[in-house]
Amino acid sequence: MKATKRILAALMAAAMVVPFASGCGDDGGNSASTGGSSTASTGSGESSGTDSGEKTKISWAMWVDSAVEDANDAETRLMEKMPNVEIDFMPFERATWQDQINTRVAGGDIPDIIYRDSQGVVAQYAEQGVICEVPIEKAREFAPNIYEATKDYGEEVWLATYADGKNWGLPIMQPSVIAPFSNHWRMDYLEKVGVTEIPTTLEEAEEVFLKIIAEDVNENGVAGDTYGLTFRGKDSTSRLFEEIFSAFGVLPAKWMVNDDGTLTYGWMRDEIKDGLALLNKWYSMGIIDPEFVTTDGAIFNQKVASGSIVYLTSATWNRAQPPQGEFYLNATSGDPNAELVVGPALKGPNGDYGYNTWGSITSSTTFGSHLANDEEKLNLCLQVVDFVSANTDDAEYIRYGVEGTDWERNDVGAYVDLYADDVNKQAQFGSRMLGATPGVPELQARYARTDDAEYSQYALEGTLVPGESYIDWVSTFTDTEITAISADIEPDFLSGIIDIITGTRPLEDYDVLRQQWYDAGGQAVTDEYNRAYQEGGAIMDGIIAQIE
Amino acid sequence: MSAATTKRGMKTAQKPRKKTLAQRMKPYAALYLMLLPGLALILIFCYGPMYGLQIAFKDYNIGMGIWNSPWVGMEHFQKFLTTDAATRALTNTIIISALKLVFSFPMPILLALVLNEIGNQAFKRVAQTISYLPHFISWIIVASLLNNLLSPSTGAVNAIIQQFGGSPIYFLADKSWFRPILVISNIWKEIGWSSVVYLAALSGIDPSLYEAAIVDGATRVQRIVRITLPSIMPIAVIMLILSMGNIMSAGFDQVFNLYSPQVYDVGDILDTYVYRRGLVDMSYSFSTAVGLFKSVVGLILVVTVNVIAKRLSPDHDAGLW
Amino acid sequence: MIKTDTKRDTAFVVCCYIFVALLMVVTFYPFWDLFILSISPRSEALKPGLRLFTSAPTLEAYRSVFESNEIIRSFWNSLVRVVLGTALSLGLTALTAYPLSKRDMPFNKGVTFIILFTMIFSGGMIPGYLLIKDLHIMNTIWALILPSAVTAYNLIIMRNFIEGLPPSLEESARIDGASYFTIWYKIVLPLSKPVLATVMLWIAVAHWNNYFDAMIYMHDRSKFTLPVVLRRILLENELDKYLPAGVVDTGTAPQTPETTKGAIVMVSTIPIICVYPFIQKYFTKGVMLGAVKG
Repeated sequence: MKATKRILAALMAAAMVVPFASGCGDDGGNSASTGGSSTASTGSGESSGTDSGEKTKISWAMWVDSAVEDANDAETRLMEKMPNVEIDFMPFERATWQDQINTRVAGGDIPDIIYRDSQGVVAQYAEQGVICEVPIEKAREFAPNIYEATKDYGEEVWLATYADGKNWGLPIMQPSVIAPFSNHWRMDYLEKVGVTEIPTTLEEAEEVFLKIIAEDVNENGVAGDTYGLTFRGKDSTSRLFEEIFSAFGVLPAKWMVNDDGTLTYGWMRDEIKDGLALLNKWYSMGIIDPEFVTTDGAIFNQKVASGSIVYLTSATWNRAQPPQGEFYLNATSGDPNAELVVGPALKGPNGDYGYNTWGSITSSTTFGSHLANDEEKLNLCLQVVDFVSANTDDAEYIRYGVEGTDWERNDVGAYVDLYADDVNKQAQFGSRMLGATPGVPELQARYARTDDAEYSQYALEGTLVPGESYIDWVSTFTDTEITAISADIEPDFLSGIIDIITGTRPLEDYDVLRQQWYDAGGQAVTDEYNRAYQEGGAIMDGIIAQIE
Repeated sequence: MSAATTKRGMKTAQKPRKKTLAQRMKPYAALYLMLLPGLALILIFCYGPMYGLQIAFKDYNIGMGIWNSPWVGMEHFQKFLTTDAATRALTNTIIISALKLVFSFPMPILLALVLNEIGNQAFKRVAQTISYLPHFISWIIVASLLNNLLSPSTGAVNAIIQQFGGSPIYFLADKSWFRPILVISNIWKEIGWSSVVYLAALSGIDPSLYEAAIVDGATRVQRIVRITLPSIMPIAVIMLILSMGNIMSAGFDQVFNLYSPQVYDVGDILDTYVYRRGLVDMSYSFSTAVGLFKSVVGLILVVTVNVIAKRLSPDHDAGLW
Repeated sequence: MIKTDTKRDTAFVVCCYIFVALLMVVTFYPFWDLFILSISPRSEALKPGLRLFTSAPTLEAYRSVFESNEIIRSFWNSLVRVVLGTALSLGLTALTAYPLSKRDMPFNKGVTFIILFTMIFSGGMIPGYLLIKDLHIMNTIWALILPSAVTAYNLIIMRNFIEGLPPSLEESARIDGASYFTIWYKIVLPLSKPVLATVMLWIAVAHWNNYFDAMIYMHDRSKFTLPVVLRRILLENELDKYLPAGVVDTGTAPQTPETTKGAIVMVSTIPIICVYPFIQKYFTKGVMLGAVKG
């Protein structure tokens, strides 16, 4: 369980160690030899095939977020480096890919290698006999680079491919996706009302908010159209104002660990009431944007651009990074002088603070069930995935081509696709082909930005520690029938919470809402999560023991 | 309409009794032949996949396929009808559909009638073309437009309300306003498109009927009531019966893009509920079960309304069959 | 026509004009709003409130739509689909609707019910896919055209129109010894122009807009239709600009997703809107009589 904390520390360290090109090159050279050995084993495993000059056909289905031709150069580059393989990448459109791949699989067309979006869908495919088992032993032998990387990243990432007591594939590690959230302040507004220091506590924040909403900081001639904060209450309601609640020591949408070692849903903890009292006060003071209830991503962007929000939250730090960060782009499009500064999580009355993270268990690569009868091909498939995921120059070449010709680094050291301006060339070149499968963290770190450290400086701080204060992985072991209840009963509860914040219902009603939630099925959900926590803990220890 | 009646009346009168089936079918041989290709396509492409409905009673498993998945009987239906959130969605669906039927359904007819009175052909054509434009704009875009128009702080609608001394209304988060918003925005988006079928029916009216009415000194309103309206009544009845088949679909895209948890109480419909549930366990069986339930209700309503339409119509010959 | 309007009639007509004019404003606005959005720079695209004009028009969003050479290819695919699909579908619908209009024909009720049933019940996506696969029409235009060639809704609308035609013409033709097919071709079809136009519009728009079947059944990129490609462009632009390292874009400030949405609606809608005026001429009064006399 400590592992979660460890991986966060590790990945932050990786992000903060400035990956200068030279250092990166050394590192790459080192791992390249590992990659080389795995290639060698590939050759021996397929020796008979190579001798007769035959290539093994392998299909690999995944989503892409950009135009990629069916027959793209990434295939050619892979085959150049792995001559015994004839690869067929199957790029699908991201938004409907789940439907598309399910239909094809149901129609009997199961690809050799299948990207899977979450542990939930791995479990589904496993149960439905679409994918085949990949014992961790086998992964160690035929995907050594990925296997080794999970040790540093945190062994619980193998939960991404765990179902029904077995392992079903290779986990995908994405440090930048699981990075914690952070706070962004409109520094130019703060300066206009004479504040030079970013607030670090709720009290300081309240003071600053009151000063700002009293003035026409966005200089549009209308006072009172600026707010301290808002939230995507329409499409992210279950995480409503989590940054404020975390100052009271609770992340509302997480399963929090109690002192006695049991789990309670964040929204049901007593601390929520204290948070609600403050939010209700802020709402009546005019600090909270009253339209948070129907705000979704698009409206949130409008609010950022029109400069009506001082404190932007619920996003990873990269959002504020120029030149591509969404908050940065939108804020400066509305006001060229807009300045966004990253601040620490706000501290509450008891000194609690912290951020949400998405958790480290995300997507994975799985293998078609027909490979269960073709051990040799399964091994080769594992090798292919490992080959393009390793921290090697070969993997870099397959993904992005040659530095200087096909891609370059910008002044903060990040990868820039030289074909980005020509969608047709980009689609043919296929530099986005493997985007869903970004490789081991060290490979990703090659393209990390030199200013990440500055932006992420507060991201790891806090008293809310993943794996200790709250548990992300527990849903891996819960029964979906019962967690579906949670989705059914939550909207009513949240609607009541919104009423309390806006003052339509009194604060005391929180106890009523909570009781209603427990009565409507919340008790069963809580029991199930506690059961899963106990059982899952043992399973996870078993997996970690297998790795070490 | 009266003409059609006469035709049928005559046919019935001519039909000799007590012929064998083959004898009765024989004169229509050519017609059966004409029916064949269309019917064949329907049998292949609509009935061919119909066996898929059985997964509503099964625990569908992609690996095992439709035929080999295990039977679970009515389990999914039970789950559906015993979940509070689902039954609330069912109630909302019926209410929203009923509201749309009462308020949205007559609007395209009204538009067609009004357009029919417009003498200036150029104006009329431009008006027709423009009125059906919103049909092509997807709900996600209409929703963001509505969000802007109805915003309590920056929205144009609330600006007007305040101009007249009212206080701003938070339409999209207000339980009492949400359904009216659904109905009104639905009219706005579909009025022109839905009126096309009535315009086609209007163009079938014999102009001599109007000329005769003018000679009799009928006013325009009288002409509408006595000639135009009765002429498009049959098609209106058909449209009504057909819309009964969809009564359990209250408009997924519209609701999904406009609602928020604050209005689930009044706005969550079956399709949005099934969608949200699918995010948790992606169950084909459950959504097929709900779909089948919707279809059965739709079929019952279509048959019922068809019977009622027949009873109410003067010659008992309105309706689909 | 004789001038016959009374004062009240005139007032009524004026009311009609006002109603239609107001409706025009209200229904044109969303389209205008989108058009302005599609040519707005980022700063204005993100402004809340009514959009009536933009101070700095830009065609950046259109450039991002048209720079892909898939657009031309997919436009052609869509065009083939619409033309072929509409022709086949309209012909078959008209052919099937005529026998259905003969209520005295034995089995008419049964067949009508069989057809109506498919409007309400459908087997679902996966068996549909298996059928296309078993018929070996996957990845061909037939997968997009055949399954929806005859739909219950269109059939019933057309059948009802045909039922309402004056029977006298058909009867005299019968007496002259014309076959059913000749009657259908020479009398019923010309008289049914308004409903043919309506159903044609429905079919064409459905073929033009449907993307889901094309996405599921067309496996080759070169066979994608326009909505599939436009959707992809839209989704690409919708993506969070913040993504894991390795997929960071260039430094050019992109237009907002909203702007691209606007441009895509324009690009996909305008061609199909152009069809409407050609159909409208069949909606003018007395078109049926003209057809009979002509």
